[in-house]
Amino acid sequence: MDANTAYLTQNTPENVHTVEHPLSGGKTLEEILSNIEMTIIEEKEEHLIIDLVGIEAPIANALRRIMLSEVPTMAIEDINLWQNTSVIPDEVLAHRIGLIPIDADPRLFKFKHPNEEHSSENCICFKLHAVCRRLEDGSIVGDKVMSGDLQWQPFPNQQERFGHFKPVHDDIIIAKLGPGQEIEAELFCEKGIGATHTKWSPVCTASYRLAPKITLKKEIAGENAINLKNKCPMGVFDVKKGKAVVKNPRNCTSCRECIREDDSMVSLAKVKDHFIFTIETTGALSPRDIFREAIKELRDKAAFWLDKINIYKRTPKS
Amino acid sequence: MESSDNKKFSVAEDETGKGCTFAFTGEGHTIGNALRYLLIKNQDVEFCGYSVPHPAEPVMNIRLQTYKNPPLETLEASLNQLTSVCDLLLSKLDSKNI
Repeated sequence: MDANTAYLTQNTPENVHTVEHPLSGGKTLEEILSNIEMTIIEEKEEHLIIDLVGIEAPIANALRRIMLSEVPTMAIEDINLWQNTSVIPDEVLAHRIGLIPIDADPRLFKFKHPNEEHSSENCICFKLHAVCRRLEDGSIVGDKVMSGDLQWQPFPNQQERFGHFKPVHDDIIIAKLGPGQEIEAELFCEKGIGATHTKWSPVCTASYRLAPKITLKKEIAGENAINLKNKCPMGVFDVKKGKAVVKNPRNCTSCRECIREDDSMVSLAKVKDHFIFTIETTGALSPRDIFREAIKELRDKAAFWLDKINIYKRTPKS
Repeated sequence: MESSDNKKFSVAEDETGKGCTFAFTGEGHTIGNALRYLLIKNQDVEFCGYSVPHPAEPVMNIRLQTYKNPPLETLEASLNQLTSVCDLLLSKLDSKNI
């Protein structure tokens, strides 16, 4: 058995243990650092699939956790609700508004301390004024309050410095109004992190899985090959020239259907140091930027504690 | 980091000078497990483990025992290694042939 492979058998996963200590057969840090590989598998505006080969779970998991809860974004935090005659209670409306993703680069802003004023450095201000009316011909206008109705109210210099801010999507329904109902509010975005509230999380989800390693234990031909191909709901196998081949190993969801009845044909396994990251953004940052910011955040954390340790060393002990 | 004011570092040292428990206020599993992992790779480390004693309290402890070097220096070395791991990942991410 290969130490770097975890096997899926009919009943149980096998060889899942990882050895970290170099004296027990784990890799040394030098070995790891010289063998790291990174490949982008798929990059779209809203999601990224990236392969990280050669690292081990604690580092991969630190990056995943940071992406979820420690990469900052901008989100609406304070709201001055001047008028709300809709059926939605004030606090529910405020909560809904808070969750709207804002298309603004958080790196341009500073964190706002609780006793600080809103300013062009730490805040984006929006105004929302929605009125629903019944026209003379009986038709109703303005019955839907959408995220696109948010009007940016730039602080002094913000327009020249940053260009334009708006919600990522214009078609999120915030509230529905009846004729004569009105919502008027001032909204203040602040920079924050997902650990405080999920509205600041830059990702819809960020996750990793281990790369599947699927091999055929023997030559499978004829009817067996067709059966194998049809067994797999994810289309992992194919038949070429009458023989079964592994065509799309990445599609495997580890359902183990292909080894349920007969495990003599296929070997299902995972490569323990091959992490497939999937990052989906909420729209404020590109997924690649989120990944980059996560790595930087981890580095800054280490630097921060080094700093703290230095201060500790310089403080006299009693 | 959002609220760096309430992040504190403290040390409880053994009498032998070869063992320490470091308390990181304001940190959790993210850096706890990553640091533990890097420390365990160090040949001078006799024992290393981390814990978050209670999920509602923002404290993470690292227990570190070494054979030769002072534990605090070993911890610093591992934090520096974490920095270099991140630098390496950053350079890979920003290299053209990715």
